[in-house]
Amino acid sequence: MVALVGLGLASSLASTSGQAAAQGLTAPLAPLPVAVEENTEKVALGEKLFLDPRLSHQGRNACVSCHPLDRGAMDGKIRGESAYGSAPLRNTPSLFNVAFNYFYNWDGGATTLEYQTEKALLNPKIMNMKWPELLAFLGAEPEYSRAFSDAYPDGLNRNNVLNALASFERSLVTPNARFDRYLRGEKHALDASEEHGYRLFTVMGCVACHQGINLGGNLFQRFGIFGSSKPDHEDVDAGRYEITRDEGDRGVFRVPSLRNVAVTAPFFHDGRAATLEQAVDIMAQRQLGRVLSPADRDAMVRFLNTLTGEYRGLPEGGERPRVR
Amino acid sequence: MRSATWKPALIVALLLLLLTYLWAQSRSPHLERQIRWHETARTLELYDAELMRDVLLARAGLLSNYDSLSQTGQALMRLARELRTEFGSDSADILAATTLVAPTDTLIGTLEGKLVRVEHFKSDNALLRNSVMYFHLAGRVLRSRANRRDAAQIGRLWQAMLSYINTLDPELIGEIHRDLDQLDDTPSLREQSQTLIVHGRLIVELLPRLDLLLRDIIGSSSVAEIGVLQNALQAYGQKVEATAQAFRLSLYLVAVVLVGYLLYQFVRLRTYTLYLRQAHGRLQRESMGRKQAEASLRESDERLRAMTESAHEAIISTDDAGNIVSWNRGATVMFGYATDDALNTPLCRLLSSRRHPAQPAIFAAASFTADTVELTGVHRDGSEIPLEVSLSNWSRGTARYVTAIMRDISTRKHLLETARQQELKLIQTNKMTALGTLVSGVAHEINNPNHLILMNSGILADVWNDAREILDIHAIGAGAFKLGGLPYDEMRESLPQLIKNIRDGASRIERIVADLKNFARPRKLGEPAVFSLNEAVEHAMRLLNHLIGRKTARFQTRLAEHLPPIRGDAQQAEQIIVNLLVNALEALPDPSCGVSLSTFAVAAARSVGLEVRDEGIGIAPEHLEHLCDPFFTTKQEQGGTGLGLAITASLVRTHGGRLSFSSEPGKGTCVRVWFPEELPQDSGENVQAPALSELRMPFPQEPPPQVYPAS
Repeated sequence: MVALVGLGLASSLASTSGQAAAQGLTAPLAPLPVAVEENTEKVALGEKLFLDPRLSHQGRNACVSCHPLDRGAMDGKIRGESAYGSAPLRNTPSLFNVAFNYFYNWDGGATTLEYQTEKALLNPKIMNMKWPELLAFLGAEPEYSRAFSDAYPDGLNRNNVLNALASFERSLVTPNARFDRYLRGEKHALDASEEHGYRLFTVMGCVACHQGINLGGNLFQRFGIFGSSKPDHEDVDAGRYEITRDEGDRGVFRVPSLRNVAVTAPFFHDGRAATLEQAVDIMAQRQLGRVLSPADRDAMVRFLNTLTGEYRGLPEGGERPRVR
Repeated sequence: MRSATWKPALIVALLLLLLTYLWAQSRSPHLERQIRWHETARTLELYDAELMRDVLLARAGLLSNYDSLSQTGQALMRLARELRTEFGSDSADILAATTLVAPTDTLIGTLEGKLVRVEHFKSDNALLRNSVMYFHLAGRVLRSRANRRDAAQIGRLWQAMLSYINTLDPELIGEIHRDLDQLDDTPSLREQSQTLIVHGRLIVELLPRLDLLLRDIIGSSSVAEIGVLQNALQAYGQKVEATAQAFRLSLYLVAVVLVGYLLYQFVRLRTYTLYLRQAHGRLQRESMGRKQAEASLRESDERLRAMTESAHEAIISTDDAGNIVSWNRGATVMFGYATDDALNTPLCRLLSSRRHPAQPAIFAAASFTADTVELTGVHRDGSEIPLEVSLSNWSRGTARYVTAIMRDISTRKHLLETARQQELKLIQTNKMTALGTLVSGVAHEINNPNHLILMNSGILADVWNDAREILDIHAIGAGAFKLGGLPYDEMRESLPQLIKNIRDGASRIERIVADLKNFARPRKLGEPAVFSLNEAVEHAMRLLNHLIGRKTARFQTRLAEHLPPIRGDAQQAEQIIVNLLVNALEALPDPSCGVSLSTFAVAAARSVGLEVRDEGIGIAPEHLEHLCDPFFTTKQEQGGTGLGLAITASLVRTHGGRLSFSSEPGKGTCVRVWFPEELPQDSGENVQAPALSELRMPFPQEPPPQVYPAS
């Protein structure tokens, strides 16, 4: 770490999370920074792009369509809806706090936000865009071409479109969750049962995978260490194997971040858990080989509810339809 | 001289160009880039070490989360890929592409493999950690609650597991599995033992795998490959440096050549400078002398120009072709052409083509003889100018020039003409004086013998009268006889006539001599008196009354009344009038032709005039100007002496008057005489008339003969 900081060669991404990583040396979990440093001009341009449905080939879906920022930055659907209704997508991950993830999407097919964004843009099932088409559209809009010229020395091009979008995505941070305040020393931020839930979370080994600043997002794990008795549709997804073609990666998925988990139901790559309680039960059973008592499970759920932060000063989440 | 200036400049420029090229090449190219590469390789090494450290920490359970591990791994990968991109990006740097890309590619492959293992390690390590924890917890619970036998069995299992975790001895695996299998049949503690079983089995499954992964990660050749890359970078840098060194050496050599060349040029320059300085001194001295010469030359040139310009003569120079090359102010005044109009025009234009049809020839001929010739020039307005031209020729180089100095001699010509006429007149006067003297002498000498002839002829006539009677008697008596060679009868008849002829001849001689005396003797005016011209006219007419009646039937007089008086000799005035009247009357072919005489006053000229007009035979034009010459006569046969009008003119001149004739042959002649009128204030003064008349004379002394048309 000393070498990293001392050489100063690491990218901005490395340096912003360097502090968090440094804290990670001493504790498995760490609070989100209250503010992130991003170029406001690029962020503003990225937000404009993020909200613009014309970025999709069909002209209907913007990025925000599947990542509504007032509802946990995900669509709340079991699986993302393909634009053309063909092969089913996985459950839509939240975009909040992606800056602190090291792998993106369920299979970790991208390790940079720019690449992940490009994949979403070009994916025929999602935005179905082509670069020439997109650049022509942006170049024809005086507002965009001016904004690109202002924000980037080399103006509008593929890399800058991606960078603008990624900059905005990196700005999507939800600080000030009650748990973070608790971590920062505000001991009354959690009540007794929540604190108990936190203790269970640690003791039961959840924290072995859900660790780091994002409580996940930095490693992969096989879904279902302790196999289910019924081989249902849930296990058909080969997961990371699709990317690496490594037999060891069959059924392996990225461990998702637990931040804002209370407002990003349904859960898991296939959205099989509609409630947190279900999700906690499944996790305990499949990953730890245990069955939780209702009290422990409730305490755990209560703890997970303290992970919901604020976006732009407002508490994230709110009322959302529960998918049963 | 020219080659000497551009050649060294070209050589120096080429050398400088070469130096610049060598200098650019001799810099270690992309030194900062190389340093950055080196640093990146070093960073890779550090990241790799950090990754290893974190992996080991994680294995030891000392790494609380994987953020830093993930980050280090991704940074390692990113840096390696960036390096690879940079090595391949500079297409000009073939050395980098050939020597650096391959080790980097190998490194990236190794790192990718290593990171895949690290991810697997992370997953397995997380699981193992939980399993060990659960194994421990479940084991403790079971041991506390189970019966002695079971507890001992669990204790044995635990011991075996602990031993396995520490040693990874494969033989223990079988033992552990056996023990785990035996746990199945303790239903009271099903949950705990189930936990113990699954986690125990997981540990046994994971641990060797994890150990293998860890060994693979540790044994990864990434460190060695980073070393290879660093060595490659080193070699690359040395090669680049060696090339740069060679260029530096060349740079030095070229610089030495340049300096040597410049020194050589400098020495040459110094030599030239010394030489030039000497030459300069010499030239300065020469130019000083030349300057002085030029100054004096300029001064003399200016003087010459001033002289030329101030000359009244036209000074004109022409070239071979006869075109004007120099022109002075005198020429402008003389010919009316401005300098600019005159230059480069042919000189012939200035000469009268009428008078000199062959001017150029004249010019050319004259120019060699350096003579002065008289030519006629033409002014711009066309008037002719008599010129005296002095020509000289000179040459400058191969060109030959002619300079003409032209003088306007019209005034001189006029003066010469006047002088010649005056000289003629003087000669005439001298001739007249000599003639007068001669005539006086001759008259005197002739007069005396003539008197004898005249006197003796009378005596001879008397003698004949007396002798005739005697001879008649004798003839009767002696018959016919000869007298003086002739028969007496003839002689008797002709002799009286002969004697009369002698007498007439002598009388004529006497009259001629008297006329000659009158003409030759300087006439002194008698006491000048004031008289009337009309009276003189009447007196003269009385004298000639008989002759007038005989010669013409029509004689008119018209005398003006109240004529102013004139001063002079009245008798001489009468003689003038008589002479003129006689001439007029004698010019009449027959009496039917008329003569008129009139007097008049000319108030404007303060003179009094007399006009005698006849209708006679007239005078031939060629005779008009000789009318007053002595002895000029057209009536030689009729006995004219040619002195009448000469005497008349002389008399008129004596009176300060003027005489003019006009005539038309066959129609008549008109003679006019003017006398100056007497002025009242001069009356009584004893002044000689000629002097007076000359002072008052309103007419030119020698007026041209005026021709009046006969009316």
